[in-house]
Amino acid sequence: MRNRLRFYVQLAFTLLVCAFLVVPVVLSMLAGVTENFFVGLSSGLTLRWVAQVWEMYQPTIWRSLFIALACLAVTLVAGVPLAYMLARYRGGHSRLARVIEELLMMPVAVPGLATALALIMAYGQYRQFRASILFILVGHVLFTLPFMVRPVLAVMQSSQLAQLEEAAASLGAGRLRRFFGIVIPNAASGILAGALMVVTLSIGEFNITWMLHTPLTQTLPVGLADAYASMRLEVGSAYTLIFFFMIIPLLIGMQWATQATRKKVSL
Amino acid sequence: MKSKKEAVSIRLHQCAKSFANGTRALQPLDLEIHPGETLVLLGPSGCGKTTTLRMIAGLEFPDEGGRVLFGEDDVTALPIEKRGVGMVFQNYALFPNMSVGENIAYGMKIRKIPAGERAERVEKLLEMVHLQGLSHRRVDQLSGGQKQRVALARALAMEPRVLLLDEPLTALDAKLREAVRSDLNKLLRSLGITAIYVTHDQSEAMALGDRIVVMERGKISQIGTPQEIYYHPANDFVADFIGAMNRVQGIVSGDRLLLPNGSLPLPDAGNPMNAAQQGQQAWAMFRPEDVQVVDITEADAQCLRGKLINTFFLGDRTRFEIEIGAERPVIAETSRRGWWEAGQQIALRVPAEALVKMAPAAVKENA
Repeated sequence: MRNRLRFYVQLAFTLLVCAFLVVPVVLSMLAGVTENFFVGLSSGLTLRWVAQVWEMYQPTIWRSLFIALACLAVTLVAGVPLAYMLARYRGGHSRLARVIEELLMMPVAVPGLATALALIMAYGQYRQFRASILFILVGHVLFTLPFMVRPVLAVMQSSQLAQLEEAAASLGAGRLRRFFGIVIPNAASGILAGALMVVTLSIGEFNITWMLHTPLTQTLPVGLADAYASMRLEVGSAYTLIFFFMIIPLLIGMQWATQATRKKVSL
Repeated sequence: MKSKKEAVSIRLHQCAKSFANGTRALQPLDLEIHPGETLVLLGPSGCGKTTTLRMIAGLEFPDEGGRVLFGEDDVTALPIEKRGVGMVFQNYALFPNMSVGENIAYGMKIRKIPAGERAERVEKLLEMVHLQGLSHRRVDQLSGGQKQRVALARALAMEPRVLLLDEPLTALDAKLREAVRSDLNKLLRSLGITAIYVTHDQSEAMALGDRIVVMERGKISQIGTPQEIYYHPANDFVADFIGAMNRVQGIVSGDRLLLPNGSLPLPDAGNPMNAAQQGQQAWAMFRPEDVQVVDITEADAQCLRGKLINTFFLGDRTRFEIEIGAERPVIAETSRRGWWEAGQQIALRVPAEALVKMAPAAVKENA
């Protein structure tokens, strides 16, 4: 009997905590489809706000997606070989490699506003660059690169992968061939984990982007701030709703891909 | 799959290895490996055997001044991918992203051998290691023994000049180890390839090696055939590392070594084994299986007497620990059937020809 009681008490507590976290999300999503949130649900449900956001902020949504994918591409091309070099340089026992790894984490530790300010001070005078979407991309890459390098580095430092490479070398494979034929396929789980982080962080990034953006290079989170500040609460909430619908399939898809490769490549 | 190429000799000349933190893994080392022989590098962990193998492979490079020669070619500066060696690793190191066949064909693909010929050779290699028809299997569907056979086939696919094996049987369980070892032995003999085999297991070394190099703390302790190493160990370390060894101290008197509880016969004065001086303290060593166990009732003046302190029945033989009033008990083994009990008095006879080594007590090396 007492066990049973304990179970229900624990269940109730868990549900309470979950509710505490989930209720604001549900409220926000509901607000996005309510006619008038201050009156309440009795005012009726509508997709009017969603449509309005879609009309007004559609470019920011596409821009955010584009930047996230571009950011992913850059961090893949730069981050994966970098992780490989950090893992292999001087047999992986180099102090320099460790210093570089720590430096990479800096933009995560330093407030985004400071990073952005530094970027503006350094490159602000190049007008074309400053006004382009590329400027935002640079900020995002700076911020997300460590999240690609870290998990990839962890896989590449595994002794099994080092030995696979030695085996490939003994069969005559040069460095490039080993990197593409052996290292990358067998580091797929780390690369996917990194990719998941990079895309998610880039889509949701606000601090750096808010500082760097111009009216023509607004991203979704910056637009969201804009909507909350200057429009009805329902519009901002509808915007959040769209954000959810955009990011959740992405997260599920990448999680699924990560699991699939883990199963296939069990290092 | 007989190798068409002539087997190659390998020479290491003054090869030393220091690591970045300054520790010396290997003292300057000279070693010659004959064409077609199987050489075993044997020793405890940290003795430098793996470093030596990796230096021959081209995965490590010797310190300044060292040279590695394959036949007449100086390969010192070549990385592993240019040396034409086949390598088998302790943990198989099969590529998990490829099938069995793709693993074996990897080297051929790099050398741009046409697909048709590749497939043909993969089948032949699989046959050689008794894995016919498994070409399309995924690597993680294989047992440990099968994995190591695939790794072997992969290493031999390009008909390398040298085959390097780094503890290839260590990850397998005992029964499988014996089966793979026997196949490996046949294969190495039939291929006539120069092979270097690293292990810490002395029975593996005995079974596979044409010659054995016993290493200790970055140095070669002894090089010789398994028989030479077993019957004529060059020093105490080798004597203790290979098999079990008894060691007793006594006084040389005539043709006998006098101990507190009896005596041992010594080889003739002219025998090089007999290095001890009359009337001096000397050490004698002998193997447990050379000790004859005698009932105390049948003991004569030629015997050593003692008390049985432990018996271990091992199935094919029984091992005894016998207290003879010396520093360490004597270990004896017999395949006789009988019933012995701890505590009973027992006698031993050690034939003169069974003495492995003798040394004056004064120059005794570290026990």
